Order: sequence, then C-alpha cells, then structure tokens
Amino acid sequence: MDRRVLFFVGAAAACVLLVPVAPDEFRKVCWIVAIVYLVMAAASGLDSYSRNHAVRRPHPSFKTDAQREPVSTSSGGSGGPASG
Amino acid sequence: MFGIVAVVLIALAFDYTNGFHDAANSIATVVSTRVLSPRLAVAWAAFFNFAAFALGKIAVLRIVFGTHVASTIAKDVVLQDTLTIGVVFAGLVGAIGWNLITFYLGLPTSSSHALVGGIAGAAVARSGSHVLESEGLRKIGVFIVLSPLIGLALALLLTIGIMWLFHKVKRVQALNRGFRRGQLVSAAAFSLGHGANDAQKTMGVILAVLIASHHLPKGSDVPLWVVLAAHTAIGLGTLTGGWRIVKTMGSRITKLQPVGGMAAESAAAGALFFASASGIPVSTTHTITGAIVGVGAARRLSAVRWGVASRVVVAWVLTIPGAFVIAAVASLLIRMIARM
Repeated sequence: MDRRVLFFVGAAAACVLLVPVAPDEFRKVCWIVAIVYLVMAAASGLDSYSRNHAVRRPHPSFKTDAQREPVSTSSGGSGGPASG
Repeated sequence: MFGIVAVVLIALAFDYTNGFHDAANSIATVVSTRVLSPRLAVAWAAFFNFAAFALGKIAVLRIVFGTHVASTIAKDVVLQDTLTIGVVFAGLVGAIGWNLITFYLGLPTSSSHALVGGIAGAAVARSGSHVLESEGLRKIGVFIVLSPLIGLALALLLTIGIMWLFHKVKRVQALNRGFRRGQLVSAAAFSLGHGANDAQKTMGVILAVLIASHHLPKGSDVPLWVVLAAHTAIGLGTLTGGWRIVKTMGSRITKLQPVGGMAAESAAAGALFFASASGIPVSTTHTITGAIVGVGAARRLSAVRWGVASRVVVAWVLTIPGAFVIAAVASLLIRMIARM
C-alpha cells in the first residue's frame, strides 16, 4: 500500500483520538480534520491504484516489428540476407 | 512595584527572543526561494508582526487580531487567584530556561508551549495540582497536535489545487514570477499570524501580573500599552536577530519552489488566523513545519525530511513537561528564598 495512504489514515486516527479529550466547542474541528485526512487517504489510495493498474499504451511513435518497413541492406537486392 | 516592573521587562525580553527565533519561520521560505534578501525579508516580517496590532484595532478584524490568546494565557491555564508575581516570574524562568536548554541541544521547540508549561509548573509547585484549569489546558493540548495537522492538510490541498489550476500553463518563467510575488503576500500573512498569536502570549503574562498585583480588576481586557509593548518587542526581536537564523533555516529547505513556499506560508497563516480567532496559543514553528511537510507530501512522502519532522515531534512531547519541571523548581526556590 502507498505510504501516503497510511500516513493520512494515521493522521485521521490521531484526530479521532483527540475527540474525547477536546473541549465541546472544538470537537467538530477534530472531526472535520479527521474527515479531510480520510478523504485525502482515499484519494491517495485511488491515485496509487490507478498508477499501478493503468493500461500501458505505447507511445504513438512506437511501432511493432510487424509495422516496421523492411530495411534494405543492399541496393537493388531482395533485401533479405544472402543464403549460402 | 519593582517586582511588577521586573516581571514585565522579563516578559517583554521573552517576547523579544520569540521574535528573534521565530522570524526564521516566517521568512525562511521567502529567503530560500530568493524572493527577498535576508535583511529585506526580516524587515518585511517585522513590519507585519507589528501591523497585527493595528489590524486588531479595526472592528471587523478584531475577531482574528483581538486579544483572545492573551486572555487564554492569563485566565485559562491556572486559576487566576494563584497567579502571583512570584508564580509568573517562576513560569517565565521555566520557559526561558527550557528555551535555552533546547537551543543548546538544537531541538526545535515552541516558546508558546514552554510558557504554558512554565506557568502551570510554577502554580502547581506553589498551590497544588487543583489550580490547573483543565478546560483551557485540554484546548491547548489538543491544538498542539491539531495545528500542524491543519497546516499540513491546508498546504497539501493548496499545492494540489495550484497544480491543477496551472498545469497547462506553458510559460513557466512568467508563472514563477507570479508565484514569487504571491510569496510576498503569503509571507506577510504568516507574519501577521505570528504577531497576532505569539505577541499575545506575552500580553497574557503581563495581564496576569497586573491582575495579580491588583493594578487591574479580574476579567479585565488587555490595556493598550501592553498590546503596543508586546508587538514592539516581537517586532524588534524579528528585526534585530532573525536574519542570522534565517540563513540556516533557508538552507535547510532549499528544495522549496516559489509555488511551494507560497502554499506553505498561506496554509500556515490560515491555521494561525483560525487559532488566534479561537483564542488558542499555538506554535508557529510547528504550524509552518506541518505546512512544509504538506507541500513535500503533495509530491511524495520521501520528499519530506522525516528526520527534521521527528525532532519536532520529540520537542512536542518534551516541551510542556520540561518547562513545567524547571518552573516548579524555580517556584520552590523563590519560596525558600522568600522565607529566609
């Protein structure tokens, strides 16, 4: 798992642990910060997943062997290697 | 009367050293990105440290730049009845002593938390643990953890937002110029936040002394001369000493680009404004450290210097108990000397 996800989940957990200790007027601040970190953890997780599972499309300039035109090695010849 | 004047002067000296040290936080990013020279940056920060005082006089802005933090220090750490001149003096000795020890050890500590720990330690040594105001201490304790986390989250979201907005812009040099100008604004905002939060801790101490010595009735607001003196002390501290430390701080975070510096300062300023409006004394050092970590984490976690971050965490854990113990010993010594 992405380390960033673990870090954000840890930060969210720390905020949740502060809720019972916090004075009443600041409890919602702890919840809000915890939710923000959870959202960032989810976004980071999705980002990490999409990077790891992305379909690797070749660059448009890349050509497979079949697409390449045969390269002539000698002028006027068949282009194939000379057989003995 | 001599005792009161001495404690007020020590409190202002504490404020001066606070400005001296924390100037590095407010302008390190501007210097490291070469937006301003160290001298100019220090003058810029000192001006906005002091400007927080003027903004506190404007009715609309009083909610952020008022004296809520000063009231918390004076009224919400320990019972007001226990705050004698001796207790405040011992508390300041504890805070300054802890700052000197950690300065020698190279630990990045918070003057604010040292002050809270010092006052609490001195009062407990004199009158017992029942004098502690649990509601106020819980508020301060919760924000020791929350303020860097808020700074980090804001900086990270701001960095990602800026990247989204400008990722298609091809004129990189023009964009960088824009961010460099933006950094001037964000550094000014952070210095305003620093002035609004840190100068008020000294105001709180002086207010406590004036109430303890019956020069002011209980529940009084901070007098104008105290506000002016505290902002002058922190501004002068920033102006005279900061640039020496800035060179070190600036070189530690050279990997910050103007965009990152702007995001970190804006996020930290936002966190400081929120804390000041809520009357919570927070550490500017921890807040800007959290914000810089947030900017680094927007790229990847390995971009963050975790060694520095872990030293800050160690300082978090140790500061209040450390200053508490020194102030308690100082308080006991003062009582012994007074009885002799």
